[in-house]
Amino acid sequence: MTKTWRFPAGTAVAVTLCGAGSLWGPSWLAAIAGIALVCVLPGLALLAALRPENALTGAERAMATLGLSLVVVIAGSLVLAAFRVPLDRGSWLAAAATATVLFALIAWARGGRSDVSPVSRSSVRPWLVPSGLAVVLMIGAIVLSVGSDRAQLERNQPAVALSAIRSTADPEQVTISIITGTAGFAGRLELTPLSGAGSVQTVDVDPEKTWRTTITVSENTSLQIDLASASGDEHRTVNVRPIATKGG
Amino acid sequence: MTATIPEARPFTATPPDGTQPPGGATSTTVVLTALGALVVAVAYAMARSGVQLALVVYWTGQCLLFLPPLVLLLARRVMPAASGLTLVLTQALAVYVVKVAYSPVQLRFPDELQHWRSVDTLLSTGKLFEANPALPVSADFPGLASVTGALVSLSGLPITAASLIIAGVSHILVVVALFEAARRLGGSVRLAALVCVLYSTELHYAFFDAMFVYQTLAVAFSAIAIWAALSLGQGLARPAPFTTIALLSSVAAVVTHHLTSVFLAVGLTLVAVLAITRGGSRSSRHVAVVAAVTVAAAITWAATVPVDIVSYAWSPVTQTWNDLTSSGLATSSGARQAPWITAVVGLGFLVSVGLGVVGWLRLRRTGRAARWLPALALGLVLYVGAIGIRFAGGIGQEAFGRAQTWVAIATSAGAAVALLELVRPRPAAFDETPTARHRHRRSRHSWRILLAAGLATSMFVAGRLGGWPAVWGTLPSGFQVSAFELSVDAPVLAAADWVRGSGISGRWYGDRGGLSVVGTTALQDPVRNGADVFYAPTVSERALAQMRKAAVTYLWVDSRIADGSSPSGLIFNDPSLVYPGQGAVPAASLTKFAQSDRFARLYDNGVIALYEVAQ
Repeated sequence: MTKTWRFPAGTAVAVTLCGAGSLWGPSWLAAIAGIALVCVLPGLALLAALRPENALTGAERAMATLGLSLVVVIAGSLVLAAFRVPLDRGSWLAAAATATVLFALIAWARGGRSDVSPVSRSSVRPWLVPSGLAVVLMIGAIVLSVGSDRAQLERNQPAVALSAIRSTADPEQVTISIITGTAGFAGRLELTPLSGAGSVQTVDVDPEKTWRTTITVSENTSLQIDLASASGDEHRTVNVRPIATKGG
Repeated sequence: MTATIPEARPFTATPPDGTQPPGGATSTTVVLTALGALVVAVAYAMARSGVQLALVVYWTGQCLLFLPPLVLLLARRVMPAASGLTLVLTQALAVYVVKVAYSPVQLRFPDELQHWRSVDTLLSTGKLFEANPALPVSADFPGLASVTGALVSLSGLPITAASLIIAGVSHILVVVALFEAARRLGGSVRLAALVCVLYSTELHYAFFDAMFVYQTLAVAFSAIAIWAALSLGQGLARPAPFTTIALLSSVAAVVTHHLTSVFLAVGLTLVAVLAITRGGSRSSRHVAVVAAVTVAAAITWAATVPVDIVSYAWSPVTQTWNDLTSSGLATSSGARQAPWITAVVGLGFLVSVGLGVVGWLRLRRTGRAARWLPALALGLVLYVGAIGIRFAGGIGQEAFGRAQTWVAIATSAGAAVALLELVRPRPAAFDETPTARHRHRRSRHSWRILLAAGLATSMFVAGRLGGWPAVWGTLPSGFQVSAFELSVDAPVLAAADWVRGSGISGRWYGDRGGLSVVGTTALQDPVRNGADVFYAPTVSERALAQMRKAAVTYLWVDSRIADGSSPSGLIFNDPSLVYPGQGAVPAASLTKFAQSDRFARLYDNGVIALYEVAQ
């Protein structure tokens, strides 16, 4: 069997392009490159190295390619973890690329990759229309669902949320936040300590924004904070408790 | 007596009929099946908008997903390989699209959220085996997290999108492996495709087995390993590639999911024993190697990881036994099931078993796939046993569902053989004229196809009604209390976002819906057993002592748990207080936290209030 450099060279080029696409490409290219690096290329090269020749159908070949790719990524992750290499984009890219090129070289050393039975265009063409239509319908289903799910989430979004939390670094510092929904918020914020005079201020917050203020509340003081909309429809209450009672 | 095992039908990788163009009926079926996914998505959109008749549209779509490929396979005598595979792939993909369409923007099922956290932790720490308080055992099985983390890193996709890709690929791999395994065992394209279509009636095929959970990926690896092992068992001239694929896939399954690795080890051992003892070829010995390595790998991994896998795996068995010895018919989540649903689901199970047995008998009589008949018989027996476990109630249904992923292969295979035998054209009577003979034959054939389709449809309806989502959650119409995906709505997500951004960290009590996001997207430590704290009318010292003992510092209080009981039967994930003890929480029992000076209310969005315990 004549050895040919075509497969390892082609694999190396594909890995390089996908790596570059993953690192520097626009988001759509990075997505395609990432999927190829994780789900396709390592398994393709490993399967070629195994040389099943003509023992596999096209579907079996595709199945083995996908499955082995995921196996290689898991194995690579475990090896990196064993050597205490942090798992991040760089290490995963290096592992996937190294494994893919290595398997391609093994495939070449074992006699090239003459076992691939190419799919003829004539066998694919009759399926293009029904399969294409099926894919369009399924994409339509996803798009419709994403739209309706997002719309439902927006409809049910809380009109406004109020929070108050003591700082862990300085417990006397209390951060009060007003988080608005799609309609924004206008109303008044009332601070009522357990003893002593309180305070009231009007607030007007734009839609989907967070309004914050930090106040000082001594460690042994209780404070109730009420937020009421101008229309009276919305009312929120939070409170701050004395720090001394904590951890008792 | 010596049994004679017939030689397997020779398998050719590229059959002569593989490149035949699709007929009009096949093309139409492919489009109709995909249309089914769109129709179900329309039903989901209608439900989200509160439009009536969504349920009718939903079932119309489900019928389109199942009936066209079924009827085509029953009616056609010969099916080209490409047509069969395309039908099966289209159906699998369309069913997966339906699963995605149920919750496309956000993972919502608790188990999916738990694995979301594993990936999030991996990406933020760069380390495997990091603790996951939401699902501690998952840290020791990093297969799913590592491939998803790699995909997120290299593609720049969000975790949710990457998780949907990995789960989808896994789902498709299972179906392709099943199809090709059936063909390797000598089945026709038509039989292999019918096995896959009938397997889609399995309880958890549509949702749970396609979720972003470690079982989904591990089952895909297992399916590939079993396919390779069966191929080896049939006899191969060059076994090395198949052996390597089986070994690698098996080991990947072992490091991905505990229970699946047990099922796989048992399955491979069974294949090895049958391959060797029942007239195996030289390559059959390779199956023994694969089985031995898988068993060794599973034991080694279980012994290496810190979590006690044996206890973890044994716990459902003991719970199932407790369920068996107690009374009541219940779902996995504790709620009682309507009698008509139980009847329909039960009928579907009976049809599955009945057809499975008929198919087994048919195979035994014809001698086809004789080597594997004991495995088929074992699968049928286990299926019957699993039915008993299901009707025990409690966790029995969940255990049955998990087992179904495996044992339904046996019923699907047997049922496919039985249905094809049912629709096989019969010779006409001698005394009929040719015209009458032709007319009678067509009439009888049509009736047989109708009967076969009816039987298969009963399996399908049982699978959809008895599987996931439960009947009360068929449509994503809106929030329901402690109802898995339906409990994760905008107020819940808003509160979880605030917790994650606030910098607080601690252990939490809450209802099931709240805890599923607190422990995952909010990166907190969820704690069970908090039901008593919520149900008590006042803040008692006993409740505070319980919280101190559990080191619980925060409470998640969803005001809607006072509005009604959970359709799942359990508002709290509290084994100490199970159905029917968990009714709606009295409203006063929730306001007590605001009135007590022992709690500081940190957050309020009108629906969810979060409290810090001032102990």
